[in-house]
Amino acid sequence: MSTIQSNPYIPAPVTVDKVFVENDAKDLKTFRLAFRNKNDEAAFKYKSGQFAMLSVPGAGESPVGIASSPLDKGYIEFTVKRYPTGVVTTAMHDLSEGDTMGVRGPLGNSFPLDELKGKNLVIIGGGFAFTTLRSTIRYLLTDAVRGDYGSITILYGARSAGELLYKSELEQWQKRGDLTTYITVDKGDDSWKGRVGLVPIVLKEVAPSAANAHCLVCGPPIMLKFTIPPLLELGFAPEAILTSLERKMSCGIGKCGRCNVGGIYVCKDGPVFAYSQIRDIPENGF
Amino acid sequence: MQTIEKKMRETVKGLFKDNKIDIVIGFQNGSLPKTARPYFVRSQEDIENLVWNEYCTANLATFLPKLFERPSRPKEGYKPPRIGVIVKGCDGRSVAGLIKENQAPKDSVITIAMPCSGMKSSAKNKKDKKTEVNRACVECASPVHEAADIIISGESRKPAKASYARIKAFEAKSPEQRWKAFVEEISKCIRCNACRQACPNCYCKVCFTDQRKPSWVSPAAQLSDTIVFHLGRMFHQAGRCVECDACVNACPMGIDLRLFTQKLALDSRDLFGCVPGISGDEVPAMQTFKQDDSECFITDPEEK
Amino acid sequence: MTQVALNSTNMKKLIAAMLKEGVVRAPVETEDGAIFAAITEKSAIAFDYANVKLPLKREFFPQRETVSRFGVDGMVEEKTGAKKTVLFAVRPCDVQSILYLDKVFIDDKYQDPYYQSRRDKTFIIALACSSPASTCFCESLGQGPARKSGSDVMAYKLSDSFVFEAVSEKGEAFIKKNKSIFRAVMPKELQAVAKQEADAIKKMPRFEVNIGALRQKNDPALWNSVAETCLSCGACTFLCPTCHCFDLFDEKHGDEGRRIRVHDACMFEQFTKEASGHNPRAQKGDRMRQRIMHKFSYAPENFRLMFCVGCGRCIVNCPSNIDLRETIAKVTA
Repeated sequence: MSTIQSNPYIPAPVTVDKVFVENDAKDLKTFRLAFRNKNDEAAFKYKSGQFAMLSVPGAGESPVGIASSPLDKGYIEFTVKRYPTGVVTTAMHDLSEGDTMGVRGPLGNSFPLDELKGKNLVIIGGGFAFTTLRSTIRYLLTDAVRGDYGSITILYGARSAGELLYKSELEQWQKRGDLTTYITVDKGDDSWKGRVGLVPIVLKEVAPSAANAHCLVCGPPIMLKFTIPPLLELGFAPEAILTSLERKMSCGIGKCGRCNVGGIYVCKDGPVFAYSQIRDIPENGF
Repeated sequence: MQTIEKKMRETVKGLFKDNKIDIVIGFQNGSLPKTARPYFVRSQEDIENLVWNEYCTANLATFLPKLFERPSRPKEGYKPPRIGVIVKGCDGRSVAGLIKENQAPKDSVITIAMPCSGMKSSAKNKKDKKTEVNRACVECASPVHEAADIIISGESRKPAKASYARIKAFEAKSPEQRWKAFVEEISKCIRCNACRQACPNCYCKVCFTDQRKPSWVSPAAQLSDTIVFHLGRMFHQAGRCVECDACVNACPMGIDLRLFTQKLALDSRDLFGCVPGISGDEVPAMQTFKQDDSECFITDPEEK
Repeated sequence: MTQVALNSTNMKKLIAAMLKEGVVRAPVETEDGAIFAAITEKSAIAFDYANVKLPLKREFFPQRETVSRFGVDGMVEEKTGAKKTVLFAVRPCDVQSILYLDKVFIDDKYQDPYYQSRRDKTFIIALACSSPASTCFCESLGQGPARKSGSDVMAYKLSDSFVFEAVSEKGEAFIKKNKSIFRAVMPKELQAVAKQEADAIKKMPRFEVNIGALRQKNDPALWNSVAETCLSCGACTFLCPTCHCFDLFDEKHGDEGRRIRVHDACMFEQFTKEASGHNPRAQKGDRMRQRIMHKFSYAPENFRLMFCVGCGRCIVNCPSNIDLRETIAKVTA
């Protein structure tokens, strides 16, 4: 059996250990996957921000950000949205626990957390782009890691309460004393007792300090378009704003020519970019 | 040709001057010798680049569906653009067909019929050896689009008698011979989709070959997929194809697609009495039926 | 490196020598122009062609190939089964294109085993150009009608003889191994070779690419007007020697199937369309800009090379006669 090391196109076989339905609409699921081969598991060393190509043989492959923390043992997690027109995401959502999938990776670069030691971190997520940020937050909150960083502020927004991901974890984070968590929804409803407001608006209200701080912000292009200007106004330098881009991909390893934004390839040079890197590229999407 | 070209330019000038038109699609001289290519006239300054010569081969109707595609978020008071098209007999029929199929609003299109004397084009195309005129033009039964909004006068080619001799000769071969010839020709295909994109009738937002849910055909140039692509595309043309050879001219591999498109045009005429696009009032063959429609393909499939 | 000569009447001997090395593919004339095909001792090789219709990339990166097969036991790599191959009488522009594709398919981090397996088994004898087409502009891009790099042996066709020059060690070894079929080169032959190259270069008009100016032009209206008559087909990309975009596609029959790789084109409307329906390059102008910038801006940024060898296939084959040379002039004006 080929492993992911010998041929970059061949996925490693994984078993679907658990499937968690994340949202009320039931089109967002978190898949907990376990490697069938110990070699593949050992080789899959990743950092927050990276992604993998998830394979459903017969349907195809789809790039998905890794949602588990690099320190989680024995499994890796991905949160996948099913699109009605998506061949692979639909096939994935039809899988059950015990089924087989394939994983190619880890691919891409990561949030440069080693370089950010000692800094304050502001982590902003919108919708289901929150997955790699969740990986980052889980990692940062690990006992052995938390002390290396300053204050951590989280701002996470979804369209409605039913669309929030990782609800049980969000509750736990809100109870912790070593980070500040703001959860918001675009549109409130009877079930929601919390904050209501678009992420860029809440950001201006909350106004986290840019002093010795970096911002990790992930979300749909429209959210980034309206969140980055307030961040700049708050004093975050373009180099200190880190985001994650998404484009349709085929190979994930910089050869098929599909995912580039200007001269940079999201799969190979990204998906994590500093705003200063992509600000002047015409097709950056925002 | 020169005076015809002048008349054409004057007509287009008049349309812009009277504010009757937003865009006129015609031809300009190409970058290669003996080539003319599609050209969009958007203002009076562009008109002097419009040409009319024996290299104006492309079917200009192919640009219409996209130009008339309603924007997903139309601005307040959106109106479709008013588009003029310089047409030969073939592109005129294509425009009529597109109007019929609701891909172009009749009130927003002005067809300007040219007196076509037959086109010569690049070496790719199969052409008549003596005169170098394209085969499609030698066999053309409708060189001028009589139903056009404006007709530029001039001497045009005499309509040929549509004998479909080459098709009938091909039909006379055995099924094995025909299959062999078909496979040999179609095996040259590299699935670049130039034929499909050049064809005015291929305006599906997502072609059946590009659909993935479900996936009918893969994009691979493997024989089974290539055959299904071409057969599918041909049969989607039945009763609609005007035999303009846009597909033949676009194909970089020189595949003789005309052998197959003409077969469908012949069947459309002889089995269903439909020659599309002449008046624009024809009901497309595959969208209606008559009580006395031929059923021989069911009752006597072996009969010729 | 070693230079030898061969009278044209002795071409059969060279073909026999090449056939000993493996499969030999060379240009043969057909009614649709010269194409690359496997040849035998009896084949008539076409030498007087401008260039073959299809680009050389297809020898290493075919239009479709099986990447892996899957069944109940998982996904298994598909071996290419590449055979030792001699590519004979390849134009220098096409040879150059392979050097460019090497940078894409074989990089420091990821090596494409399918491409590499064919690359490792291929021996290239290039054929210098004596009469470039009016659409050729290799010289302007730092290429040339007799540019040697990338080939193992460079051949020059003269009126009744050929001159061969070893370029790589493999080429040197081939010539040495077969020295009995060759004879010494005559000084007048070397003069003819030099003159042939100079004449060919003179025939090609200059074509400048101002990359700096190109990088400044971001106006969507300009690009939309350049792409106005583009049909969004893939003729230019599929025939381009340096275009390498591909897609991976699964085919399934019951529990078994395979993953195949197929050529794809950034000019297709669906190329960047996401499952959500969002398409970053929905406009023809965006796609045209992507193609031009990839070749003349992004590739220089990433590889210090313009991904164009000046072969002119895109110009000859565009159904709307959109001419790359005019496009570059328009967008760098």
